[in-house]
Amino acid sequence: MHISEGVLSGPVLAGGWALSAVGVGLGLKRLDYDRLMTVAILSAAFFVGSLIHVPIGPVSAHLILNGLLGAILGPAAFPAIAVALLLQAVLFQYGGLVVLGANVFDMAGPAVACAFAFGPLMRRAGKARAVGAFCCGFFAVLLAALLTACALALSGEGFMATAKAIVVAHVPIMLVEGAVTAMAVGFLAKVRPELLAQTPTR
Amino acid sequence: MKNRYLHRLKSVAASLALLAVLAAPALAHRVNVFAYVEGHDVVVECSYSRSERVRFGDVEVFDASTGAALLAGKTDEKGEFRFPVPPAVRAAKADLRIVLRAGEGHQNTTEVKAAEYLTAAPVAAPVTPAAPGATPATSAPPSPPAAPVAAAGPVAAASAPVQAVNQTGGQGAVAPALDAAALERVVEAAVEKKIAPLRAILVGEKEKGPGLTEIIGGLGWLVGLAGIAAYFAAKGKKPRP
Repeated sequence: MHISEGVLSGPVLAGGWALSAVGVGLGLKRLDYDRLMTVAILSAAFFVGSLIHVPIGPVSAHLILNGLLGAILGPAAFPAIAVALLLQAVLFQYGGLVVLGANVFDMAGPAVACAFAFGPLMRRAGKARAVGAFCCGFFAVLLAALLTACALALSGEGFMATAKAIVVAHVPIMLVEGAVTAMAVGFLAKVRPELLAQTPTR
Repeated sequence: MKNRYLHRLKSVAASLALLAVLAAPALAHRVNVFAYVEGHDVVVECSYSRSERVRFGDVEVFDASTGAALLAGKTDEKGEFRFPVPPAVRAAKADLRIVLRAGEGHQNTTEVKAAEYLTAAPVAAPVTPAAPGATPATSAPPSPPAAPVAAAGPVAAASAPVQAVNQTGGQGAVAPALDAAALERVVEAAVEKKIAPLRAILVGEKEKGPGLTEIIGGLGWLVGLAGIAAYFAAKGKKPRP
């Protein structure tokens, strides 16, 4: 879902940069410096996650992990994803520097939104937590796909066709990410509950 | 009951098949476009990372200096698009910029320098008038084989042994067929054959995902950035942004 350089129109690029700047700023402001290393480690997980290809039936998909970052980091997922995407753009030539703003917002916006939406559910115990975490992973990818389609639609590609193609292709990843997020959150809740304590609206 | 189950199974299989068809483009990290010159044509090879071909992607060709659109087309099933260099472009010695739009936000460009297609078919202009004549007389008035060899320069000179062998074979009729232009074509074909595997390696190199160096480097960057942030955070409460 990395949008390539030169696809988006000027206003969309500028909008992406503006929204991402706000998100990163707010994320840094909310970032407790005791949790710096957690942010860095999850940023690394996001950075490497897109290299891990999961064979699902006939398709091979790669993880995105934006829902997981949202679930654990809350608003701090924004700077974490921004740095990871910057490094992917520079080192792997995924996406590009000019479209970085749009790509960051496409990935990090849904992560933080889902963290806020499913945070209360994830802080409960037992099944509710698992369901909340699954939804967080699932919808973060779905929203990211829709935002990507939106950005492309605003730059001329037809929305419905693009959105359908991207969303359909990502259905398996949504399920996998939901499961991964549910497992990770469940595990952390048992082993290191303080890691999850900082999900938003504490 | 069983029928219903079967029906459901069928629809699941159908949607999986649909996924297989639709998935590849949207999941790719980036697209690669690789262009090279083969004779008079420019061949454009398009692939997603991890060697999935770009089927029916839009390819547009521009004049690199003026930005004027020259031609457009679609890749075939093998992700290939082939076009002859337009005569006007050849005359203007313009570099070509090739843009591939694979949809879903995937796009990439590459360039073919004028020198590439000019050297790939250096005798393009003289050959065409010579071909209908079919005799060496049009290109070089004196018919002795020594004269065209001298005129055609290093390429023909290097192939002088070939001609000599043919003549010792006693077949006088072979000599006119091996004039400079024909030889050029033979050599070109041979070189093309030799280069093909190299080209495949180059394309493969481009299609490869990021290597261990990049991955470890990226992780190092993240650790370093976190370290810098921690340093400033620990330095006191004042630099808190």
